[in-house]
Amino acid sequence: MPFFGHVDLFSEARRVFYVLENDFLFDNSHRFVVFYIEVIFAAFSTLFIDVTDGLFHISDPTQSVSNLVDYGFFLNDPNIYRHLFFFKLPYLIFDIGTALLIWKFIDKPEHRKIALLIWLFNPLTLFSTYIFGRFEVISLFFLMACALQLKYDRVFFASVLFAVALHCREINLLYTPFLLIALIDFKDHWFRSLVVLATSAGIIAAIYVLPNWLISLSGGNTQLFVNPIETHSSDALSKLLSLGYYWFYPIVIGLAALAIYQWEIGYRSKAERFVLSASVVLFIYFGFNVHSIHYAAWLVLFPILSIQYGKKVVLPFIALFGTWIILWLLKTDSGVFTLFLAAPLNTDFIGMGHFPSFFEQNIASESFTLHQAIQLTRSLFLVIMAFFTYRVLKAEPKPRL
Amino acid sequence: MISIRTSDRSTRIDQTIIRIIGFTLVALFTCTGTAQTITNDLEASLPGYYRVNGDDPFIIFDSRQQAQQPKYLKLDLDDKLVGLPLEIFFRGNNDLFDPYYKINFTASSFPTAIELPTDISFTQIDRLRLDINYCQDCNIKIDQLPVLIGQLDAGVTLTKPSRVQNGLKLIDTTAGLISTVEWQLNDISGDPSRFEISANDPFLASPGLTVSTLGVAGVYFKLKAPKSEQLWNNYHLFYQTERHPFSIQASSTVRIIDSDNEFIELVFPLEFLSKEYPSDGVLERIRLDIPDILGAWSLIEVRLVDQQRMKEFQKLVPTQLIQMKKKRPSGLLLIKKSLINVVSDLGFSISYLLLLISSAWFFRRAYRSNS
Repeated sequence: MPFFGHVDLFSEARRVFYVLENDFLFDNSHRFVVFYIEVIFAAFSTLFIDVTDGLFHISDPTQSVSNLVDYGFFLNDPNIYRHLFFFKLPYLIFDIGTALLIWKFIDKPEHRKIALLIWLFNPLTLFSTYIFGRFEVISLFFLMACALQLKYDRVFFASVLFAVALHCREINLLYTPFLLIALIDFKDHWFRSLVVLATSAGIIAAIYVLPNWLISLSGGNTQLFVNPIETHSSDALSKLLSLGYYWFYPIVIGLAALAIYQWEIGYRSKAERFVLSASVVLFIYFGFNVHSIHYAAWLVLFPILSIQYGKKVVLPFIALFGTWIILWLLKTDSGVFTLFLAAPLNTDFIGMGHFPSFFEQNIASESFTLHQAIQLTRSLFLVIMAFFTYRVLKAEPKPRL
Repeated sequence: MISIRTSDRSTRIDQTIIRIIGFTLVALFTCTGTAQTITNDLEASLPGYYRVNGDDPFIIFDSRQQAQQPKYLKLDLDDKLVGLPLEIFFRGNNDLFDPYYKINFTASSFPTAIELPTDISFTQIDRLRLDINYCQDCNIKIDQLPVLIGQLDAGVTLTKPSRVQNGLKLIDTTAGLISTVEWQLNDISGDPSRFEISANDPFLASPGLTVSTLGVAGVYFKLKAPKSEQLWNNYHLFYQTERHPFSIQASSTVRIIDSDNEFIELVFPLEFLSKEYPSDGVLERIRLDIPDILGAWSLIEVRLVDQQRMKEFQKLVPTQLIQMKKKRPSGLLLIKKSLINVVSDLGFSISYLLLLISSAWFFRRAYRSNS
């Protein structure tokens, strides 16, 4: 765990230490739940680490993304392992916390064991959390807690936890309509359902906007680490909303169909409807867009929870892990997950170059190039997502009389 | 200055040496000239005329001595060789021609007299080898054999060698000073004693050092730098050896805080200079890339630090340091190195191990009691 860390981890650590060193504790509303957890652990780590002067220094917070020279100084620091350990310690705690909540969520002992084994030993979250060093498990923990509250019919607690999860990862916004539909109790009077729905939506919206509003009100800088001339994110959002990405059409169609399906299964429990639809949301999303290697960690939680409802997901999980490894062996490059410490599969260990170059030299031909292999594996990924969707949505066979 | 003494370097013969010695021996056995001259990749055409017909043309000849204390080597060569970089090899301790015993020069006219190193002995120069580079398919006239003379004759121009190497230098354990004159400056205006940065890739590169890497542990710099707008600034040292030019894989970067001190003192450790396999035997040049800070700079002092004195200089090694390697370890070697690195922080290693063991125990217990 403390021996790997992508450059993104160092960039995040620089932001955390910048806030600590300059006492900007009430600035930065971006993913603030994750950020404050990291700030607390970083402050705690200083009890055990004599932080090298200037190691995390950034002259301009809007330029906080690290370059390779700064990252090199970090990797060569005598306390590198301690830093990595303490920075990932909250991830470990939230990982264990998620495991405990999964244990509580699933009732049948044999299902529990399977679910726990998948959660603890799946390569997706292990890689994303402990090798790549990103905070996906914190977001997943709050989603897990939200699902657990729904299981116990605690709708408002679930809404609060979901809003907290929104402050961990923006992708969780995708779940919002499906959570709201899941909150509707079709057995209740329509007015009561409307009040519950409106209150929950109000809680989520209030908690989502509150930190930004409070920081602005107190004169804090909500754009502390935002590069004012960097328009990549807003350009991407505009493009997304104007359906400028080819992969977005099938996702919109798929999500709309899923919402109709969720409405149709309104007789099932709230937690089941949320878990099943949240699983399929990501199957649709990742069927058409694989993004970065560590984002696949989002895929793991809800299908595991679907085991509670008798869904047979072990085989799709095995297929997913295999395809994910092959896809990212082929798609990898120095900038993705073979960089320095985050390099378990790189040239230094296997001594045979990056896999893409090995593939080009020994396997590829004119009729079967690396690009074709990647496209083929991406298609396979889509098939796995379809397989998962089938297994998660498939109705449990009725016991024969 | 670095003290100079010739050294027995037979264990560090590199490919270049082997090539030169090899060609020399081949030429000795397949001599095409008279008793006084031996040639390689030079075809004798008319008497006194040679045509270059290969990649490594040279001629070996016995020199004639016209003075008791020769100070110059007089050469009267073909005018086609004017303006071309030429090399004269003389003999080292092992009585063979060696790349660390040579004079590089470019003549502006012939006849010319080349200044000889003051510490050279006659036995080293009684037989010389002239390498004619950059003259493909030339037909050149060499009818006058070189002469060792004591003073300049009338009509003979003086040529200052561009580089003289009389053996390898070993780092002096007490001084190790490198002269700060004749450094190559890039994107810098002025001279090393006072300069300003004029563009965005400023660096200072030393003249040829030709120092044995044996015992070299680091490089010390004393600079006067202007006040920076940045709190932290990076300095980057490159080193060139007989195996490679300046490259990122043979460099070290340090980061230091901007201070009000008048002088900056830095030491770059050169841990991988001679530790890697195959190792570098000769430190040819060093180059310091400096941060882009406007104002008046001075290079006050540069010194090679030997292993014995490195402890004294250790406090000047910045904590923020990157030492690049030409070859990263892999496989078992990497695992071994990683383990050594991990165990070096013993407190952390023990705590981490205890944490792993207690977590595994706790989980096993919890799993068993719940299932």
